[in-house]
Amino acid sequence: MVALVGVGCTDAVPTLDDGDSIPVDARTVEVIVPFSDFVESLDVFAGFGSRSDAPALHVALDYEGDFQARSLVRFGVLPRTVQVFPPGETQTVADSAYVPVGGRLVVTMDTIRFPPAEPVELEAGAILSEWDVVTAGWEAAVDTLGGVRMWDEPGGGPVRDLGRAMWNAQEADTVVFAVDSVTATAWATESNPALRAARISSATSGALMELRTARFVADVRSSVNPDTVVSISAGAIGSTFIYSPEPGVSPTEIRIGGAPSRRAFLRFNLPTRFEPGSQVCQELGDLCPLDINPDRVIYAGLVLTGKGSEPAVFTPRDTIRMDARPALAEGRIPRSPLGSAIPAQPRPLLPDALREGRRVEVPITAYVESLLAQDLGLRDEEAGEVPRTVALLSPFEPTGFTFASFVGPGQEGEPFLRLILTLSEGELLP
Amino acid sequence: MTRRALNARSARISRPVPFGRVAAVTLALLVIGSGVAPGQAQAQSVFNSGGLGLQTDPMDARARGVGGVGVGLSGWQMLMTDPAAAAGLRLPSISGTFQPSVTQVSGAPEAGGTRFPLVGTSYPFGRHVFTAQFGSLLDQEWAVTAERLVDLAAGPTPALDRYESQGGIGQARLGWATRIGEQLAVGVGVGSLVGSVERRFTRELESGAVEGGLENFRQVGEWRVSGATAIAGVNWFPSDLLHVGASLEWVGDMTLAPVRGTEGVDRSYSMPLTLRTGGTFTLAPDVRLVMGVSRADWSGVDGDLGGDAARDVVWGYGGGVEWARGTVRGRAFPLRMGYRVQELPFHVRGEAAEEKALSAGFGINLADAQDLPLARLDLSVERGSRDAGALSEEYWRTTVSLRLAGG
Repeated sequence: MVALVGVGCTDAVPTLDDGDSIPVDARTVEVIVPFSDFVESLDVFAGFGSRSDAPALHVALDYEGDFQARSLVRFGVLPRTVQVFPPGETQTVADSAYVPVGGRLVVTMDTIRFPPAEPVELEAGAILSEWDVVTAGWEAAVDTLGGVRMWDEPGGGPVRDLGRAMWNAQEADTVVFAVDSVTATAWATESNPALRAARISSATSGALMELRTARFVADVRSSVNPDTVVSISAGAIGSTFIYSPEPGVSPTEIRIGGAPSRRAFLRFNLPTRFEPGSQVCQELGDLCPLDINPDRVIYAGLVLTGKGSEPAVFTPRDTIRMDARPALAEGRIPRSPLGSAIPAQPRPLLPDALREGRRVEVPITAYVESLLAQDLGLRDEEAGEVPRTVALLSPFEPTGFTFASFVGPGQEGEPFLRLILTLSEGELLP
Repeated sequence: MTRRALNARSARISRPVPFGRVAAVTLALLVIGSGVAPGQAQAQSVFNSGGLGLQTDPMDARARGVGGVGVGLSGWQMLMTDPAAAAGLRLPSISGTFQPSVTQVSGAPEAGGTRFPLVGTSYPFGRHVFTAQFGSLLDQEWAVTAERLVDLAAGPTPALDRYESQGGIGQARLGWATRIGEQLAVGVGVGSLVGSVERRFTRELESGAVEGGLENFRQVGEWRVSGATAIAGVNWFPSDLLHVGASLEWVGDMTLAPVRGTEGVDRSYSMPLTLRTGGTFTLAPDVRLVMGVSRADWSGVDGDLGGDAARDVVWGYGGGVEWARGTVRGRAFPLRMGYRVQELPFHVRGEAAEEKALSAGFGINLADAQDLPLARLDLSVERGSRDAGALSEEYWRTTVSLRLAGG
């Protein structure tokens, strides 16, 4: 009896394999929405983050034309005392009255990412004017609001020359510059960190290289035992790089990334209905007029067309990432706080994907559904308001001086919204 | 031999099992059963996809075992199809039926599930017996899938469409029955349709078609069922050898009201007037012949479903024998066999559908007190088939009923 009772104890819904038995006639269509039909405004802003936060410093001279880059490094203070043996003594004593007699500037170069194939000549100099590590650029030593101060010579000058040194990336990762006693004394005694700094630049035309860090090694003579010379060092406490030219934003481009970074803000105004005669309906034919609602949207992607950065040197040489995040306070754009990323993971963009004419698609399905629901009054008020403006940006700002460029509105290859909709006809009930 | 005499004979040969154990088993079954309203029963047939679902008569294991239509069975019992049959219950009772089954559809995977077609309680008061019952009516649990190719810019993209129907429609009813003299019993019941229906359409496109993935398209609707129902019946005992019963069941328009944000307005469907008649003829002291026929007029619903979706008149008929001489360890152990044919009201794939089943079963009084059965178990097994044109399925269906007390 148990067996008889147990025969039906598995729950399995009887399933027919017969499309004709489905009372719903569903049709899935793909719709290309032109830029002007879903974006109310586009603004691109630059100035997010600081060059000093970039993971690498750059040095270049006339690279790919006239691109110049120099690295600026500040050093910490030297140790206040050195331990020396007084003459005839076996115990060391602290000597705070040591005298710098010279030293070295030791620069560590990157030998893994884009090292130059040929030996290059670098040059160094002691910076002679005050500069701000966060805001310094090619033209301005300080670029804070209301406190702009230009370099006496664009490009971080003038400097007290520390000479030149050859660097062969295949042989070494450090470059050493001799520091004269005057400079060593100045760096050892200077209390202003802005003046305890060096500028490293390239003397080889056409080279571009990355610099990791630098430190100052001083040779000091002991006041306790003048026969003793001790080497002490100070590491970098701040660094940045400055470059020229410095492209800002363009009204015909969507630019993302760079150092400082650029962000593009798109204010969405999604259509909720495609009317006959519209550009969209030319492809949809008899489906128009077509109402768009969140239930029908199964995919929405913002499609951007790559455009080589100008000047070309700013075209990314490595993978960069792109985020799409809603601007939570539209009135405070470009400084609006941003919400959670719309695609949860940043979109990695290989350099090849950013070539002219290549398309990059950012899935924004959930955002489009939420915005449509809000526009149609279908959204639960407790769920909060959906921001209308979305920022396209690099999730890490900055990553380097290069930036991604995409074709802007009004041009061939302008951004568009790709919608995939499923439309159902027929009722669920018989 | 009179009914009282038969019961007295049964009492003499029975050895009651501990009443507490029986009660515990019965109550457990009923608790489980009551937790699942008939309208939420699990699916067992692809024929559920026709019209408003598969007709599932609220019958117990004994009625299934003898192939009857649920009216005119000898003895007293609670059947939603035969309200007068409760008139002779002398003790309060509760009863429940559950029904596991396995169905094999031609060219499709095996399906199965358990249904609770009948749960009820009765309470005698003087010459009157009052009942409350839940029973099944239409099973709507089924699904259909179809593979498609959808044209996207990336090229033809595979898609899987799935349409699911969940839920079921049952009925809750309060009844009254009484005996009029020694040869007649009458009963009536009124109640309402209960349950809900959920329909869901899903289109799932191959996610790799678009970078970032495609969401599934879903269209969901849920409706609450309502509608009035009433039944009247009579049982007549012209002689000790013959027991005849008939009932007339009316179900008003069934209304499906959208709930939980489902769009649309209420939908109403005309439901049938069903006449059932049947009887039991005692061929020999321990051999009874059971026969019955039912007729339901579903013509009203055809228009509601868009035409040509249902039969106008649905007939059901069946019969069998019950041999009451068997015993197991001194306890009465009636054996039953039957055959039943039931036309199904709704077309499936445009074809008229019909169900046939050969059945066998038994019953056993688990506990008696003098001439009163205090706990009874009935079990039947059916081997049946459903056909609609080229579509057919075969099933094994077990029905188990337990009644506690009742007399």
